[in-house]
Amino acid sequence: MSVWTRCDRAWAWLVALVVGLLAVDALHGQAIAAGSEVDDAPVAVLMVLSSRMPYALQEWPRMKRVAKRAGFIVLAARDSRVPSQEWAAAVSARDLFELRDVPVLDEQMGIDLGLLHHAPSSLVVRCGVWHPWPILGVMPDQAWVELLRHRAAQLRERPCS
Amino acid sequence: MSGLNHWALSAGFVACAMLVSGVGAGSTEHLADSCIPAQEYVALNAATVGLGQDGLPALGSYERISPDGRFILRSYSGAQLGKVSLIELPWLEGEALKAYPTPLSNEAFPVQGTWRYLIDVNGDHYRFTDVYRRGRQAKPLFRGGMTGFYAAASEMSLEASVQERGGPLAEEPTRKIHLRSLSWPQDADPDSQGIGPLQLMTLEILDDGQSARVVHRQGPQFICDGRVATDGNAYALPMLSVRGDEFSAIAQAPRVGQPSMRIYRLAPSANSVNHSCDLVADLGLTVSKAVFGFARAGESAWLAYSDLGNVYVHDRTLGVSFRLDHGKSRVLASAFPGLTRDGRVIYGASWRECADGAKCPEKNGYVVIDPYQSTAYRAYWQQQGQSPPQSCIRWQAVQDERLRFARMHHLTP
Repeated sequence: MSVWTRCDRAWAWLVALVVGLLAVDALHGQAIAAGSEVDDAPVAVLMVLSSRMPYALQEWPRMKRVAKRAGFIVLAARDSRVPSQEWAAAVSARDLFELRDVPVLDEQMGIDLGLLHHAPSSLVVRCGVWHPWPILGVMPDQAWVELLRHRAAQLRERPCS
Repeated sequence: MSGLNHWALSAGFVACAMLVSGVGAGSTEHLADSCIPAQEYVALNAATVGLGQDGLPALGSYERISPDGRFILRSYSGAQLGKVSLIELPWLEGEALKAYPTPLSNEAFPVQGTWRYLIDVNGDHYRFTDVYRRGRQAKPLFRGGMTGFYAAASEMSLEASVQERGGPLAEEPTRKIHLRSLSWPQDADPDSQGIGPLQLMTLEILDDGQSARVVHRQGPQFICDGRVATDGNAYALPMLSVRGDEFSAIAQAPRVGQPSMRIYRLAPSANSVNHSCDLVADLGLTVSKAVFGFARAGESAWLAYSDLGNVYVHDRTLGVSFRLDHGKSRVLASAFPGLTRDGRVIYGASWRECADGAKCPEKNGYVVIDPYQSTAYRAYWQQQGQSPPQSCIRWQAVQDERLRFARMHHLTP
């Protein structure tokens, strides 16, 4: 892997996202404490969701649960192309109230990071460095965890600055 | 349809009707030989499809295009039509787009190649014509095949039988049909999952035109374990080819290179269990789902895909992708496109008639494109100093496909 993405704008956006989500989701702290995938710096996975991709919302609870169990901080964002009303109706219909007020992904950031080809698209990040390869789509538990660990292991090869 | 094209549509239908009735093309022959419009925008209207949550006619998502481009199977159809609806694009001048409710669930999919059956996500197979004529009252014929994430199916016997006969499909008595399906099932045996990420199944169906039943199942079997050393064991956005002999997917964690949309070979025989998954093409970039068109003699099937709202076709013989033109303002493809047998690209989209949002409100509908008339395709051949092998899609080809599909499904053309 030769290309690594350090995007200050994206990092600032992520920080805001983390702060916001930590305030409303104490489980993040528990995930960090569990520490199975965390060494000196936590590894987070940002999942961009769209109500227009049928499996994205349906599989969000499972994929979030599995990723958390593996020690990842799990963050969600809404695809900016989904109107807010449509999003609100979709998450309410599935009783996914935790997603109602998630941040909207900055569209340019989504393009820059290749996150808008599909939903869900998930990007692993550690101390400001985004893995350049989004994980596209839904998948079974084992493959999901293996991919998250693959991305995390490659990110850990780089020291935090 | 666009008003500019009414003459062509009318002429096309006349020629088509004459073909149906066995009358020679006569004076309309030259029209049948003319090019179809380079682009058409077919707007949805709220009376037919209802309003979506954005206040526009409900666009839906996850559209699948019939081989003749007449029908679109779409999920997320909105409150008025229910989860999955069947859209029939207009053909005659002044004809309205039609929509039919179905008993299917979101992400139901057709058997590619023929649309003989529409498959619900639980594996229930419905006869296409039953859904078309009876809507929600349609009943499944049998259950089988792969279900799960990104399930797709193709009829394998079609092309072989057509080639054997040397002609298009006609009414047939009871026949054996082989359906190959591919998916990534969530309930796969975790102990076996490590040997290959995707699963495949082939069904042998006996269909007498009224009833149909599964007489043999092969699989499900994991495939592509031999590619782990180079492509890893996780793929994204798999899609089966029309003939079931290839699939496209993005290797998510390749051991070599970086993720890209790739085409892999499957055994062409319905009875084979040895799938090489040989790499046959690599687009070299990550795009949304790559959908297969119909292969022509001696050539690989084209692909169509969307990328950030634009739609592309990929000519595998050339190894080149061509971005398709936008004939309207702010055109945004809503989901992945489809290719008809004659080569048209059809996709759902939103657009404006002009750039001024105040003067031109957003519209939802379907876009029909002739890729051979696209700026990028013509520019490529101009740069080569050659004439393109095909300058456009002609009405005759469109009519032929419409007739072929209508004959197979006993529909009025």
